[in-house]
Order: sequence, then C-alpha cells, then structure tokens
Amino acid sequence: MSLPPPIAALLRGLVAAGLHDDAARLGVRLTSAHTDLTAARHAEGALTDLQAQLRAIFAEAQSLAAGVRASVDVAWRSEAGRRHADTARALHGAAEARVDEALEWLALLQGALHEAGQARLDAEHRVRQAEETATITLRALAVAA
Amino acid sequence: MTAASVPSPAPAVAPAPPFRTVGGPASVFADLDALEALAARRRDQAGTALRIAADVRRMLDGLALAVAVAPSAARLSVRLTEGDRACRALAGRLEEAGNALAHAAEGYRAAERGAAGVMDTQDLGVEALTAWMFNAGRNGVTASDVEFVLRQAPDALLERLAGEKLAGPAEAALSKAPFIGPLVAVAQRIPWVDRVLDNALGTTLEATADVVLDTSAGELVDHATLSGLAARVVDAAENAAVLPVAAEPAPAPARLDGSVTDLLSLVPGDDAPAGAVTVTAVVASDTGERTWVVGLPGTQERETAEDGSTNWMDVYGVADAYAGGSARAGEGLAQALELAGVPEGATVVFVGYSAGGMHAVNMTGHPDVTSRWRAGGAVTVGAPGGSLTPRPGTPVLSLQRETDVMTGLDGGPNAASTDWATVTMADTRPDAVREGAAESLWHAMAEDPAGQVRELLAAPGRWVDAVAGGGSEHSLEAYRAAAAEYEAADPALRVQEQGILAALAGLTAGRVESATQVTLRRRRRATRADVVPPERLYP
Repeated sequence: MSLPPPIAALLRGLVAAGLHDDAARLGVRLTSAHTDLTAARHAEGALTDLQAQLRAIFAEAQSLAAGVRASVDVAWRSEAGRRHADTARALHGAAEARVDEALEWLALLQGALHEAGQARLDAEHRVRQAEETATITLRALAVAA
Repeated sequence: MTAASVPSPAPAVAPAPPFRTVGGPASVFADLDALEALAARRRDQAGTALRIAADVRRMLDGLALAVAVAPSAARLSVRLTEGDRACRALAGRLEEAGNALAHAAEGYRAAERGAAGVMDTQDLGVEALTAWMFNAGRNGVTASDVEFVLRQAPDALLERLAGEKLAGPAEAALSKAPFIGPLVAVAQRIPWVDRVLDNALGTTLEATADVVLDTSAGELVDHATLSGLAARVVDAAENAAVLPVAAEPAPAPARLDGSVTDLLSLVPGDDAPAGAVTVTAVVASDTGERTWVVGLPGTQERETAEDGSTNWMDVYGVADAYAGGSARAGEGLAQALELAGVPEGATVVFVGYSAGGMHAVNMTGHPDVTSRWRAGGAVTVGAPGGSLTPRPGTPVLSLQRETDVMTGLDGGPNAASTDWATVTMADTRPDAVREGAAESLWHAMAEDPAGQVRELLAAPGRWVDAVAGGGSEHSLEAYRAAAAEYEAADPALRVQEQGILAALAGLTAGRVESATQVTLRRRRRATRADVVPPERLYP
C-alpha cells in the first residue's frame, strides 16, 4: 500500500539518517494504521449510504403496514369479508413486525456507523502517533547532529 | 320435588321470518366491489413486500464492506438475512389473501349472475329425480322445487337419451324417455307447437343426434341454454312489432304513498282490456317533481288466429321478455309513453306482474326507453327473473312467493346485486293447505307422467288453474296480499333492501296528477291470403 507523501517523506528521512530498523517498525505501524483508516472510512461511507436506503425501507414498511391496517376495521357484510377480517388482523401484525424490524435495523446501523467512526478515529490516532514518533526521532537526530 | 326435577321451560323458538331477501344495498353484494378492490390492494401489497425484500438483499451486499470494521454491521447482516425471509413470507401471505378475496368475490359474482351461476352439487338421473320430486312434494311444491327440477331435467333426460339406441329418427328415441314422450305427443296435437317442433326441435335433433350421443350430457346443455333457445325460436317465429293503438283516461287513486302495495294498484287486472298498460303521473309533495309510473299486466289469453295473436302480453310475449330483452315490447312501450304525454327526460318507474315484471326489468335497460327517459327503477311481483339483467345502478325490487311455482320456471334465482333485491315470502301454508292442485299434479306427474299428459290434453284448464288460476299462489290478488304482509312486517327485517325501497318510494310517493290507459297490440302477421292469390288459395 502506498503511504501518503508526508508520511513517506518522514520514513525516507529516517532511512537517510541510517535508522533502518526504526524506519521499518514505523513503516509497519503506519501501513497498518493507514489500512485500518481506509477501511474505516470506506465502511463509514457505505454505512451512510445504507442508512439512506434503510430509511426508505422503513418508510415503505410503515406505508405497507398502514395499508394493511386500513382493511382491519371494515364492517363486512359478506362471510368472505368477515373471514378476511381475521386474516387482515394477522397480516397487519406481520407487517407491523417488519416495521419493528426495520427500526431495529436502523438502530443496528446507527451502532455500526458509530463503530466505524470509532475505528476511523482510532486509526487516525495511530497514524498521528507513528508520525509523531518519526518526527521526534528526526528532531532528536537533528539536535544530536 | 327437587330443583333438579323441575322441568325447565321449553326454550322460546323465534318465529321464522315471513320472508327472506337476497340482494340490496345492505346485502353481501355491497361487499363485492370492496372485496375485489381489496384483493387488488393485497396483491399490490405483496409486490411491495417483495420489493422491500429485494432492497434488503441489496443492502446485504453493501454491508459486506462494514462487517470487518463494525461488529454491529455483522449483527445487522444476520438480521437482514432473516428480514429478507420474513418479507418474502409476508408477500406470500398477502398474495394468498388477495387470491382468496378474489375467489370469494368471483363466487358472489357467479351467484349474482343468477341462474347461470347456479351449480347443483347433485346430479340426478331420471329415476332419482322422479323420486326426489315425489318426496319434495310431500310438504307442498315450491318455486325452489321447480327451479331444482328444471335445472336437473335436461341432464337427466339427455343421459337417458344417451342410453337409448337410435333405431330411427331422433324424435323416435326421444319419445321413449319419460316426460319427453308424452310432451312430444302433446306437441304433435297442438298445431303451433308441432310446427315449431317440426321446424326447429325435430330438425335440430335429427342433425345433432350423433353429437347428443357422443357428448357428455352435462356438457351439452342446461336449462338456461335450452329454455333460451326455445324462447328464441318461438320469439323469432311468432312475435312481431308491438304498437300502441289507443289511449284513454284511467281510474287511479288520488295519491300514492310510495309503497309496493300502492304501486300494485296501478297494475292492470283482469278487468282491463287485453294488452293495456297504465301510465300514471305522480307529483312529489315536497319537491314538485314528477315521476311516471308504468303498470304492466301479467300473461293474458292468447287470441289464436291465422295471423297470430295480436295480444302482445300472451305467452309469446314471455318469449320476447325471456330471450329478446323485451325488444319488441320496449319499442311499443316507448311509443306508449309518447302517446301518454310523458315528456322526454322524465323519470319513469316500471311496475309489473308476472311476465309484466319481466318486461319491467328489461325496460330499465331498453335503448328505446333509456335514450329518451330516465328509468328510475322497477318493481316486479311474481316474475321469473332469473334470465334478466337490469340496467346497473337502477333500483329493482322483486317480490316472489315461495309457494308460487311460476316464479321457479326460470330455473334459478334472480341475479342479486346491490341494486336488485328479491324478496321471497316464506311458505307458511298449514299442512292441510299444502295438498292443493299443484301438489296433486306434481305427485301424479312423478308417478305417471304419460297418464298425466293425457289428462292434461283432456282438461288443460286444470293445470292452468293449479299454477296460475284466479286465487292461486300466482294470482295478482295473492301478490297484493303478499305485498301488504311484507310491508306490515318488522322494518328491521327489510334493512337489507331499505335503500331500494326508499329510492322507489322517493320517486313514486305523491299526488296523482294524471292516469292514462294505453292499449298496445302486436302487429298482425302476413297470412297466406296476403301473399297467395285467392284463386290459388281456393282453386
């Protein structure tokens, strides 16, 4: 994976100073942190898109449940209509369950978004820490020189 | 005496309602449109649930990226998979419910179509049918009994025919079957029937004998098809244009209260001239609006002549009503309305007894009438209406008596709908009275059809009196009494058809402004004398 130019420049500085081991360790840390950061950002983006889709699904499930609900309280005169009243109540229950499910999905998605955000922050923190380590090492070398 | 041994009073038995109603704005038929609309909505909703399931599956693809980063995404992935299944299951249930509703609505529609929709679960042969007739007749013969027999008879007779070996003409094989044999004999002794048979039935049977023998009887023919064909043959062969020939003031009550009983007072009775109808203008007290009520009589005497009967209300008129939608009667009645001074655009309500009731229903949709006037509704009494189709949206009330076997001649019920309610007065005859002339004939017919037909030939008036004579179950007087009984009953029993009653009463209650009696005649047909020179006719 290619590292961003400022980070690559820092690593090149360490190699130039003969600190090959430090550069290698930092390189591993930075690459790992940056990979996690990229994954977290992609996940966050995907989850944000999914949130919009899931809101649409939730709205459609609500509309479906309301449509099914509309036929529950009809005063049917026919035997077929009265028979359907029981079916309609059961169908309404099932449709409402899908609405509840969609709500649960939204909550889970919110949680996933939060977790992805945390993962991004964590990766960003790790990148910053590695950068700071490299910067401190280079400054120490400059002072010693 | 202990408490346990005290006899508890017999539970009160609710008296049977004096009538039953099928159809009307508050009947099951009001549900039909709603059931069909809901069936369509359920299917749409099934489509929505399937769309949700598809969206959920698409979400699963998008979620794969986040599963490694967010544990909740992994849990969500599991729940979405379950949700997909649940949504598809819901779609299945919605589709199933929609299909059940559509099927139920279809069933009601079939019933609505009346005789054509009647399906008997039993399929009796001639012997079983004869035995059934004998047993059913023990408690009095009813219209339902006649309808059942008429629906069963074609199948039973054709099955019998199919078992006969045709040694000669088809008519010879027909003559071997019970009922048919004597009827063919009758037909041959009545000139016009014999002619029709010779020209139509005989030829048709000769031509179709192979088909009759090779085809399952049930698939070949039913009562509605048979009677419709016969009526069409008679209509085409014997009927002619109907024209109004005279108009004169008619007696009428000063007011009408909008009741069926009052409306029946406008139906011409036995004292009216043959072929006469009444046209009565009624002015509503509150709105001042006018409605014209046309009173139509029942079947009248046939005036046999070489040029055919000119009484349009004779038995051939029934063929016009049954098979022709009262095409000829409608042309004549439109001219009668014009002659009686009914202004174009006015509202007309038709009230008819027996065949007049059939014409009344047909008038609600006859183009010559509906193109010039608004058919406000129809009231029929004693009319076999199983083959009729009133104009949709026009209120029609039909009153029948279960004891009136004439109303069973259509072979099935009227086509009930929210607009058309049929009220059938129950058979409340005491047991002793149930053994009347109709029952005697019914039993005798079941036991010895050939002998009965011979007796019929000797004294046809006995049959007519039994089923249609004065004072019988089919008479106009009996229907006037039935209407009075119906309207005196608990209004709660009429709730199903109340909307129709209210609509008709709203149109026909008020001051009688004028009453006209218009006599119509069937046009004279050309005779041999008209087309053959006398010297060739009488050489």
